[in-house]
Amino acid sequence: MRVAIFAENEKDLAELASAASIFAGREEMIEVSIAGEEKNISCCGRKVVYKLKGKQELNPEAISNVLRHVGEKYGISVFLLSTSKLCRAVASILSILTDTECITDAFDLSIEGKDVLASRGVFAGKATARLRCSIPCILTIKQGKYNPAEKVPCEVIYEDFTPPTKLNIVEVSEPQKASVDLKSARIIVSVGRGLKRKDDISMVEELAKALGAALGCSRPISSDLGWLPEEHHIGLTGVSVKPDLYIAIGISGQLQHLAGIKDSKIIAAINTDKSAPIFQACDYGVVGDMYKVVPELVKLLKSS
Amino acid sequence: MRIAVCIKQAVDEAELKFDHAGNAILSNAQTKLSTFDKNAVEEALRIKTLKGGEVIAFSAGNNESKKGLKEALAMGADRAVHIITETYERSSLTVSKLLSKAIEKYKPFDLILFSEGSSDIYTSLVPGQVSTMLGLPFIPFARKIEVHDKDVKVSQTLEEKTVIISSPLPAAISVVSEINQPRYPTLVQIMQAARKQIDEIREDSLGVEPKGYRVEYIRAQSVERKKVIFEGPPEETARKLLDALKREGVVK
Ligand SMILES: Cc1cc2nc3c(=O)[nH]c(=O)nc-3n(C[C@H](O)[C@H](O)[C@H](O)COP(=O)(O)OP(=O)(O)OC[C@H]3O[C@@H](n4cnc5c(N)ncnc54)[C@H](O)[C@@H]3O)c2cc1C
Repeated sequence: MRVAIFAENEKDLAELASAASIFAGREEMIEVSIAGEEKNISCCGRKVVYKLKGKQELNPEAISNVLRHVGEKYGISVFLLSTSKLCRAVASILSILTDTECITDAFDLSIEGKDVLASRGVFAGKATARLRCSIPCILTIKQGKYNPAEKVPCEVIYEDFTPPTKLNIVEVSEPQKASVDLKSARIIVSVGRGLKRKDDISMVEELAKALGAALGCSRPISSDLGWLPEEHHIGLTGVSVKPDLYIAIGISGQLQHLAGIKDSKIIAAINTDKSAPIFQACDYGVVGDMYKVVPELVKLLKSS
Repeated sequence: MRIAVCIKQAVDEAELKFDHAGNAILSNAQTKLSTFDKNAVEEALRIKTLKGGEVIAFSAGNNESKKGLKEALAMGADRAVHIITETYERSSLTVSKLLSKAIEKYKPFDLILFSEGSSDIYTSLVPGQVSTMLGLPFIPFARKIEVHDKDVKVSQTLEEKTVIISSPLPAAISVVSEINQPRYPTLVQIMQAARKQIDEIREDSLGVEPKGYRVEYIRAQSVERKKVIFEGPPEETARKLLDALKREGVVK
């Protein structure tokens, strides 16, 4: 069986290659790259490189057509993609172009005869579904579930193919702030709508600094209010994290937020509302005003 | 401008119950209009206000789906189409095929709108699948839509980047919840909606073979947490919390 993997970054690619190992050996794995010039090193035996013009590396339609091309030319049975927003869109388009079923956010893969079995979180993480689909298929793999595979020297093949697309990528803006790495953070201090003003983030940042923690937030803080960049957003539709310690400050603890933090070793919470759901989902909770408790914590940490 | 908006009556995750063996009880489970689908309906209505035209809501599902369609009608959709399926559970691919076949019957459309994903399963596959089946360009995760006469310009937020994409019309777009604030229908609108038309199409009349993933089981995810709660003056609770975290070895 031959497998093709595609992701936007090296870390995801290494996890995909690891997940792919249940279907094929390294020699039968193909990494699809749309970057242009490429080094001959990969987690897969082969790297197939497409040089896309313009900013097409963000065009789901163009990427889907590239993958279809790979699929036809190299006889691919399983496509593995990351769960990024772009890859989700690519998977959906590709599933129609190739008329194959797709499972998103998959983990715990296994093969049974001609089928793949995969688990995924459903109902905002309240339950896990075990799904079966037949091969050929497309899977997007939940991040952080597979140990990254090693890179070794590989064969590189350049393809000359211009994918059809009606979309035009007009402009791309990169984030201004230095990026945070929530996925590998040991401690995360995370803030929600309990925050009254954007400027008050500095108070939470101070606690993060005192703990050597990364700063995260609930969806409304990044997406609705824009008080922190999107990459800080934790939960079902944001990043899934697994720190030793997660401190939820002014976060009510809705299922969609909890979905992203359940692999944390210890969860602590600070919330004024004793009946907030976060207190049912934490190890240690403080019922109190974050504007009073957080500065106290900073004071204690600085004095010790 | 003719706009189709696809919505789902989803099992309400907050109300979902499990049996003794931990299996989710889906038959007769409480449902709601999938949270973000209201944003898709709102966006359709916003565009209609600017450009004129008609908004038709489509939903594939069992009888519960009528509730969601009525909600869309109360918000201001002109018509609704219910593709009646026997059960709630259909794979994304099957749902997408049903929706695209139904949409074909009501052609032409300038825009097809979806939300980014449903609040119950969130595969986020249906928008791209329906678009591709209809042969339309697809723009996912829109947080701003600007409709011109012949094309549409969309601002999209990916994990780290903001991207501006343009596409000729007709096109299909999925929206994120930040795109707008959905309106609440008034009592009068809810009553008027009861008189608006909901067309019915039976799933077997569309000639779609159920295909795709099958559900083996859906089980509760249980996580045990200690739930030690501290109450009292901030100086005291802060110290207690810090001591506990040090005992756990997660703070030095
Ligand atoms: C399909 C879908 C996907 C979603 N994905 C995500 C996701 O990935 N991540 C996510 O976070 N959300 C997500 N959401 C949204 C989610 O449902 C909640 O709306 C959101 O998590 C709430 O954020 P919050 O806890 O910050 O705000 P709120 O729910 O408003 O809670 C604020 C909390 O702060 C407390 N508070 C107020 N003042 C203080 C104070 N002075 N001190 C201490 N506490 C205070 C309040 O008691 C309250 O509990 C999603 C929703 C849907 C439908």
